[in-house]
Amino acid sequence: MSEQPGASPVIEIDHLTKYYGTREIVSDLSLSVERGTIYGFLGRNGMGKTTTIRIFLGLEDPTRGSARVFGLDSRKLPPEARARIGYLPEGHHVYGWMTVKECGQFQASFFPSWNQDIFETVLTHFRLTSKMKAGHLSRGQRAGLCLALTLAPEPELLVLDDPALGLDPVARRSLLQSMLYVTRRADRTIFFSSHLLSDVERVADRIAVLDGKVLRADCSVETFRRQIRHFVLKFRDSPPPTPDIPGLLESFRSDREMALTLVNVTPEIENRLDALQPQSIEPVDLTLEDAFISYVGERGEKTFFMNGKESK
Amino acid sequence: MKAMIWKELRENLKWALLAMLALGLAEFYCLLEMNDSSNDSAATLCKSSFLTATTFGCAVAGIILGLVQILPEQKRDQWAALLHRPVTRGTIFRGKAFAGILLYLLATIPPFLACIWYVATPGHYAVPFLPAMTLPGIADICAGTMFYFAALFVGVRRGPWYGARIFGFPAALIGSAFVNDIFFGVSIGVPTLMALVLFTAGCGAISTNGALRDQPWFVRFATVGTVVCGAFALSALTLSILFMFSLRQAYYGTSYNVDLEGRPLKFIQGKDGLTVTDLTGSPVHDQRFTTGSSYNYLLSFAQVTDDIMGDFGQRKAMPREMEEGYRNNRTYVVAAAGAFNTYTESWYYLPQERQFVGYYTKTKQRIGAIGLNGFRPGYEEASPFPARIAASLYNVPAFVQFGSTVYHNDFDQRKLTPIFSEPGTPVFGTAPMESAQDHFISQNWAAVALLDKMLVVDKAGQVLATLPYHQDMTRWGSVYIAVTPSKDRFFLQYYPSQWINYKQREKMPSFYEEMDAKGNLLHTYTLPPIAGPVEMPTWQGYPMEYLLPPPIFVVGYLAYDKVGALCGSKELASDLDEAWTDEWGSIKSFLICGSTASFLFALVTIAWARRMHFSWGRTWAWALLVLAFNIAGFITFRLVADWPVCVPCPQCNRKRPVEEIKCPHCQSLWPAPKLDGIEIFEKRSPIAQTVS
Repeated sequence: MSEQPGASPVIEIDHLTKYYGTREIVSDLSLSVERGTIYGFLGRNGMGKTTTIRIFLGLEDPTRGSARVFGLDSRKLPPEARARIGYLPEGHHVYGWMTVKECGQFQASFFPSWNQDIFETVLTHFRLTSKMKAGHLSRGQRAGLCLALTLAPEPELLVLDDPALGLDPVARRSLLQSMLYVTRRADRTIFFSSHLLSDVERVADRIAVLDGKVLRADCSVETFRRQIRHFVLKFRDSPPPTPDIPGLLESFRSDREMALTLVNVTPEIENRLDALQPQSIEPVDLTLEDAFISYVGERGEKTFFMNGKESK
Repeated sequence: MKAMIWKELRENLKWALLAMLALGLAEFYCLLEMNDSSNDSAATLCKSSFLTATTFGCAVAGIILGLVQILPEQKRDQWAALLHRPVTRGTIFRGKAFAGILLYLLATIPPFLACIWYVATPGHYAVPFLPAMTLPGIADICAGTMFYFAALFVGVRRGPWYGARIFGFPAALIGSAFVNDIFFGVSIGVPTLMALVLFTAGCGAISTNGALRDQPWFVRFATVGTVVCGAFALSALTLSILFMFSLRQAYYGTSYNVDLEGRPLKFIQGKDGLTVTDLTGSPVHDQRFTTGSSYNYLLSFAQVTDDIMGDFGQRKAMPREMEEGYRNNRTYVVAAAGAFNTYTESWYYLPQERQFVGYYTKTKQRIGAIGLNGFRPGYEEASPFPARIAASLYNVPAFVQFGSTVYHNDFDQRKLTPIFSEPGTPVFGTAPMESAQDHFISQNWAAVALLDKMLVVDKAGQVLATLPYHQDMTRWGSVYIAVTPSKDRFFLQYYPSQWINYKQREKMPSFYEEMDAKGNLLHTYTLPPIAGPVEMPTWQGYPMEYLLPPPIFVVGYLAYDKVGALCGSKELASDLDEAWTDEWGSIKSFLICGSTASFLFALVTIAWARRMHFSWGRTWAWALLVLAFNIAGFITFRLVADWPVCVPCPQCNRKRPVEEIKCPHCQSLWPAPKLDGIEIFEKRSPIAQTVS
């Protein structure tokens, strides 16, 4: 039975830790995904996004902590719960020897609530015909077929692991549109990981950012963008050394300018910027992509000056 | 599950067809290939080369089909897409296994049926076909399922190849050893049981994410059982190879012979070549014996009986199955005459039908059958002989013995003539006399062993010599006979009876008796026992003896015999008695050394398990397993136990399991991830609906 939006979390991850051998992949991750949310799961490569997804889908066991989906322990998800979860792993695997129609028939035989209309709608969206051989499809078409197979059972929870990986812009747009089609009902939840921040910005309500195996952010897209701020400080002469400011993500110095990207900026921090006595301080709006790159990228000062000499 | 079966059938049909083709070609090649051995070529479906093809072919087909069903799908995301379905993983596995077995049967049964059709259709082979000859092939097909499930287990189990995963194959190898059992039921039953164990272990491996503790108890048993069997097979193989390469033999071969002049000699093949002495040990320098054809200058002894007291003595009658296993071609067909291509006719004895059948070698059509009621042409059945043929007459059927009647056999004339039969006089064996020098003797004279004497008769039944025994026939009942080229002196050679334990036999002397045709004893020679091959103990020999046999088998074997004896089984009581008397030395040695090794392994297990923070319950369970299965159990413990990953504790710096919340040393919790002030956490606001 579908519940009302916001009634209880669809995914609850509680102090989840995962090791591969002696290497810690995910550390003490806690996350809660409310029903009806479109959740973007972000992070650089190797930060544990796919591992986290595989754990809450019961495909891996957590080393410590737990994950629950629909209130059920992920390690013992019954078939009925799996029927409510649509999962699109990265790579968009299809059985190459099947036709598109056979792919649909094969998948439909497992799902009691298979919606053939949705399946065909998505196929049409990707210009796929039922007689096409899955092995002969382009990457985008294959992604479309996989999405059709994932959406047709009308899952309450749609989990997409980097769905747009390797797709051209048109295929990406089609994928997004199809994905959003599932949220025409308010009780549908989407949890997806992606490196394409413009897509995330377009559709996600909230994002979670994994950085260095730890959850660093769990907020709305708007909050994330708002909390990460970029200032350009202009000076008459050479800018002073980069100050030690809490929340400084990166700085960039040139002849007359100092650009600072900061997170969680408080009035006190703004006062410290004023204390540097710049000619002017210009706040610059960041896109989600810029904000994200600053947030998870290399921290510290970047400059054209190397060892006191100007580089060419 | 239907969809999964459909998918697997469609996906892997090509492999099954390929396997079918390859297996069919191999089986037909082996079937059509002529063999120099007349016995073997008579066997068709029981031919050793054909059985090699079915044994290895079915195993390889099973392995290939199992692996191609799993490995191509094992890429991480592809596997995830397969498993994330609203069915249990067990259902997915069962669907795969069911389809896989259908494909396996498709690959193995049609070629086998084609071979059956080929050999059973008249005109293809000048060899009789009996339905029972299909049993070895059926057993091989059955055993192949074990390798199929082993491949599934190897495919789905998580972990490195060199770990517990690969042990599925040697486990199947253990099961396949039982295919060679003499009983068809055992050779079907044990591999089926092993296939079931491997199926269960595979199902358990796919149903969990690798941990043993998450599996139901019977799946854990199946997994541990699989790896124990695999570890046992691998360690046996390794130690055998080590043993084989380092075996030092101090013995090269010694035998007694009689030369054409009737002089008993001792031939000692040593490091420095052949030495010939007389029975006093004095060297005999004779160039004839140093050539490669020394047998031309020695008498040929023919074994007439292996136990003169037979069923009348202490020995129980050996069940027929003990002599002729279902895989033995002689169980069904024995080449009797003209089985080589050079003959125009081939005759065979059918032990189960108790009659002879003949075939034209050119047309491959049946000539007829010879039984108790004489010759019956074509496909008419002859009456079976009332008793089994004497085993010693296989291969040389000029004289055959059924019960206590001896016949002369003449296939050209299509008749069997009784040449010796006395009511109330048991015959303990018949053999054609052998002579390397006189072909006439080989064709026309036979020796017939009675209770108190040996008769030499010709093919008309005329008694040529009567040779009374002068030894204790209850103990020296294995008798051979030879005649000098002058045909006036006979030699009987007495060996210890077969029913006597081999260790006792090794210490008993044998005898030559020289007699004339009237049975007058001319000489008796006592031949001191010849020591059997002496295998010098090597360092590899000790692990073979003390590490390998699982104590549970030795103790279980004795307990089984004991319980059987208490329940009244005379056979088990006899086995137990033999164990306490003849084998007690080796049992005691094993109980001391082998069990000590086992016990030491168990101690290491306890120490290791506790060091790795196993609970006491798990520690004792593993220790008991190791105690029961010795080194195989220890290998299993190392490979199958859920070993915790340990990392240094941030608090006390001692190793702690990553799965435990508290450090077992300092009881500290894991520290929370360090915050660096850039975190952005926001409480949830009412959800805004996204509209596409």
